[in-house]
Amino acid sequence: MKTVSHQYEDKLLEFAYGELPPHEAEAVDAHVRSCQRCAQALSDLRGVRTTMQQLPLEAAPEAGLASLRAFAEQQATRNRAAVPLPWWRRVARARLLAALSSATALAVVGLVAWEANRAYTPSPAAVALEAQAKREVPASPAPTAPVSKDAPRPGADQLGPSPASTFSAPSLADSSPKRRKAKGAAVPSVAEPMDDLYATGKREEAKARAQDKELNSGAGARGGSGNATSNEAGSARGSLARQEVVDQQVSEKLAVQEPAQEPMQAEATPAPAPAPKSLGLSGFEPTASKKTQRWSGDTKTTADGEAQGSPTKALVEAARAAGLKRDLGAEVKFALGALASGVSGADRLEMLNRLCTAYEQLGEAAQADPYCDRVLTEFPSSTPANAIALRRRAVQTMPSKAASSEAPAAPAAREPAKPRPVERNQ
Amino acid sequence: MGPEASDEQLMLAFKSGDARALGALVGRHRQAVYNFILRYVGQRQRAEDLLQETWLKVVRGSAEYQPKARFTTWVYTIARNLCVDSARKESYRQADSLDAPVGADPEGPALSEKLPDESLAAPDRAADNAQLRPMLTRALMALPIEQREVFLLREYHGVGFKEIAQVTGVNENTVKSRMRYALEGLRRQLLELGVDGELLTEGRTVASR
Repeated sequence: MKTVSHQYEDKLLEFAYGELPPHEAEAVDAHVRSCQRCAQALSDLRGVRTTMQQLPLEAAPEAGLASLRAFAEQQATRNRAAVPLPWWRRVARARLLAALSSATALAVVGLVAWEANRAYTPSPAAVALEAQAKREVPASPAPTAPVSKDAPRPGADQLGPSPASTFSAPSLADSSPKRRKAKGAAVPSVAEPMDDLYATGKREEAKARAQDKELNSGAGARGGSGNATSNEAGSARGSLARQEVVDQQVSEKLAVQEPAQEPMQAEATPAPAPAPKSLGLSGFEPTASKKTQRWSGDTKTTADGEAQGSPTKALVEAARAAGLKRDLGAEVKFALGALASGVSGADRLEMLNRLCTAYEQLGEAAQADPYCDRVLTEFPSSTPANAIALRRRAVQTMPSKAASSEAPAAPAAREPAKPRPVERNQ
Repeated sequence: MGPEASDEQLMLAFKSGDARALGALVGRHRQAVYNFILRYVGQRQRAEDLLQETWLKVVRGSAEYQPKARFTTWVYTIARNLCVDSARKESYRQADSLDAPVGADPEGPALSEKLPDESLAAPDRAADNAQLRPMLTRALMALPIEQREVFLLREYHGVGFKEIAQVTGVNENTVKSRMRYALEGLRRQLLELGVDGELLTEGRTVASR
């Protein structure tokens, strides 16, 4: 194997490895037969090959197979949901999903409001109007700061129902303010709270609500409105709706002071319309607020611990569904919502892990880390924790350069993680 | 997906959500990839870790996988890059501690010295392999890494020169040139180690693929 000089020498290597096209191989073969030097070179080369071929392959270690399989299954699930759609359709679908979820949110709010205002039987036109209004709501900061008891009371003057901050519930109520107002007097128990609040911008509500009093007493405690009526589902819903309004307002207020912290929770919303009864008076318990607080770091905890039960579940499921569809943005959103609403146990692990992996897939490692850490610290021996540990190890050993080996990371949509005004919780 | 499915088809199947397809790929290539890595880094523990990382990357990269190149080209590119990084780190580490154990040397002695002792290798095909193997390993590990990787890929993993160029990021002529040096280097090494004569001659009849 010396160097060039010979015209066929260059080809010997490829010839020996069978990489020459047939006609060239024939030519080389013919040449080698008549050329001592090339014959020797080829012979040497083949001799080395034959010898080195005797080096046996070692068996690969079993270690790692199980976790690899688990990881692969997880990825396959994601893949399944993602694959068939070309990117433009994926984008379209993401939008559709977003639209759907906000539509759902609308529907829920609408339903709640409708129930609350049943007496009035709002016309479809009114509903449509409100839907539109909602759509037009500009992005407002995602608020949610825990409403502490002494949270400043939003001043009516400052907080007035500015369109920008209006939420679905309020806007619904708004669709025919006058009529409602008028009727409100007649049907105080349910409808009034909302209308009243909306129309006058009373913040007492907020305060009262923050103190939990109202919740516990149903529609009752409202200063002056005097709807002492009932324990019925209707009133529970009414109070729920009202509460949402209040939350909204409170959060708006808070948002002014501290800019959006938690994107999540806002969007999570839709599904939740908690069953009126369960929710009603008993739904808002200590447990709920305790849970919410557990999520400490984020100030988020909406004041409404009330919706705790079913909404949390709904968020968990929404996150799951989004995960299946590989809609990372929605997955993140719902998972954050679930966490913010105090999800616990296995669901909590799942939500944390979803955030960890979804953010990773979005290429936002910095976002992913805190959630991955929580999985590791809170559920140290879980399968997800193991997988995370493994991935981390992998990442550590292979820094920047390996990039070329990887399929181009899809820096996909980052936005989804951000709260979208319209989808905010109601 | 039958056993005859190509690697690329399997990878596409996995990309579309079939977890078993990846299992099939792992079954087909994991051992080979492990051996490539092992012979690259020369240390079992590191090789195991890198092997796992390689497959995790395959899994993770599946969503964006495009069958533009052969699956094996892709896998070896991942594995090789991980090896390069690992070797680099290792060399930094060693630069830091001069008293590092000899066995930690990413190239050279480690594998060749450890292999025979550990004797964990596959139950042999031939008794004489037991003596031969350490020598072959030593000859292999003595090659400069850029020659060794080319030789490994071409000789043991069926990766063509053009694909090796993709894997290693150099042009095809450079790959072939390194391959020639590798073969020549091995021949010299083997002669020095006394592996010559019959073996090399015997090779003539069997060698061509």
